[in-house]
Amino acid sequence: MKLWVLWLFFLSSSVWAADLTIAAASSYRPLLTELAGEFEQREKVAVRLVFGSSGKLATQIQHGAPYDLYFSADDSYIQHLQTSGYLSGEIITDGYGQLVLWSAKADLLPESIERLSEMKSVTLAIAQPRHAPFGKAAMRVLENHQLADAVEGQLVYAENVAQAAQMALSGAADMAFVAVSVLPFEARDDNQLLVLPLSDERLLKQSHAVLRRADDLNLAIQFSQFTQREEFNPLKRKHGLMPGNRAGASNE
Amino acid sequence: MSSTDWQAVVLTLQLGAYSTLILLLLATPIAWWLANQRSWLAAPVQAIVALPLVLPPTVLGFYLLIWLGPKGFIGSTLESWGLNHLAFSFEGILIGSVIYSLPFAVQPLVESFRQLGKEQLDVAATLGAGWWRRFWTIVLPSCQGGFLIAATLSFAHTLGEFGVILMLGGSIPGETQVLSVLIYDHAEAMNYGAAERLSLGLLLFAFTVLVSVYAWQKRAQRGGRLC
Repeated sequence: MKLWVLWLFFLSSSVWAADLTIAAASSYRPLLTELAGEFEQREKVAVRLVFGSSGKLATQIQHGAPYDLYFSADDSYIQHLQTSGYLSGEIITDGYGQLVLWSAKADLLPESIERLSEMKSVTLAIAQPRHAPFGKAAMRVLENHQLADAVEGQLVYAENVAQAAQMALSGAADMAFVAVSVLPFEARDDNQLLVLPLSDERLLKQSHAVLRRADDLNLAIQFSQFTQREEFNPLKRKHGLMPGNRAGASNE
Repeated sequence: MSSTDWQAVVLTLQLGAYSTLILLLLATPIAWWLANQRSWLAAPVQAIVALPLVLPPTVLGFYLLIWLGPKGFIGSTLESWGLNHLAFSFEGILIGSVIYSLPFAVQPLVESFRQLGKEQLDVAATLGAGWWRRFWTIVLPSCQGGFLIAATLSFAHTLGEFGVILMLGGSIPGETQVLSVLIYDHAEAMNYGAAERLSLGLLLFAFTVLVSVYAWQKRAQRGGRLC
């Protein structure tokens, strides 16, 4: 027993020191989990992933969080980090996120977004627009269709897009504004989702950059280049990253 | 359980063990002073110790993030000495845990010290025992129960910490991703199986700890005193 306690004390947390720490928007989770796993195997390094809303992670970076790379689901946060001098090198565009309205029950899903104004009894999960890009994009869609005021009382706010999806998947909310990428594959049924095209392409521009404070700048750059390989384009598409310059509009 | 899960288990135990050790060292003099203090200063000190019970963890987490981070007065001072700032690090969440669990260490000790007979200590003093010897030979053995409860509650409360760690530490695997934060992350990743397993583990652990504490208290009460 005593020995065990001693072991606990001497085992410093540096035992797990990772070679690379990546902060990424929740919508990147499925893609980066696969890519990081692949990178770890090929390069024999340890990568750790931290997920959250783009805005929250950007704030953490400004408060000195020890991340080496940052993957953002929205152009504004990463641009802001660049102008404040937190980035090393340029911003790499990975693609465009796809915003959808998803419902657990296919018969509940409206044919078009405008019909939402008639559906007074449904609750709609949305990621917090103040710091979560997919929430911001969803709010923009609602505003563009003059629906924001009409559905305001029906919105329930999630910390990030993954949590918004979780609310609808668990049945806690009737529908959710989510990124296709955070939905499990079996949930991506055409009858259950309504694709919401965006008018502004900078919304949901998924991009990443190496951070200036990176512990191992070369390894960080190497990972960045690794994710840009053409061999991963099908994987990106599979996880909801669209190559087109307009989210939704490029929907094949 | 995955390697991430084990990593979080060990990290959580480490955080709990370090916090408890620091808390016992810190809480003992505070509790002793509080137990014997009649001056007006006792009330404000007691209030400061109890603050974490009342404040939302976000308030504590927010202040600590601001102070310990690179722009805060503590973080920037450390950096000017060539050290690292403390936000998003194990050391940072350790400081957060110690503050957050302070009342759980101080309260049982105050109770315990108050029940300690002063005659014994006075006799020992007249026989020439210094304060250090009186502490080791009288206070520590007779207040075992109080120390044990303080240690157990501090450890258990640290394991249940969430808000402070999330704000101050983020969710970095192997550094600040303790069990409570990992469960949140598993739920967000819709990895419900893993979230359920870890939640059940924590539930059983917390229950066992509390049963032990209450059983000990009962036994101590039957025996006439807590200390």
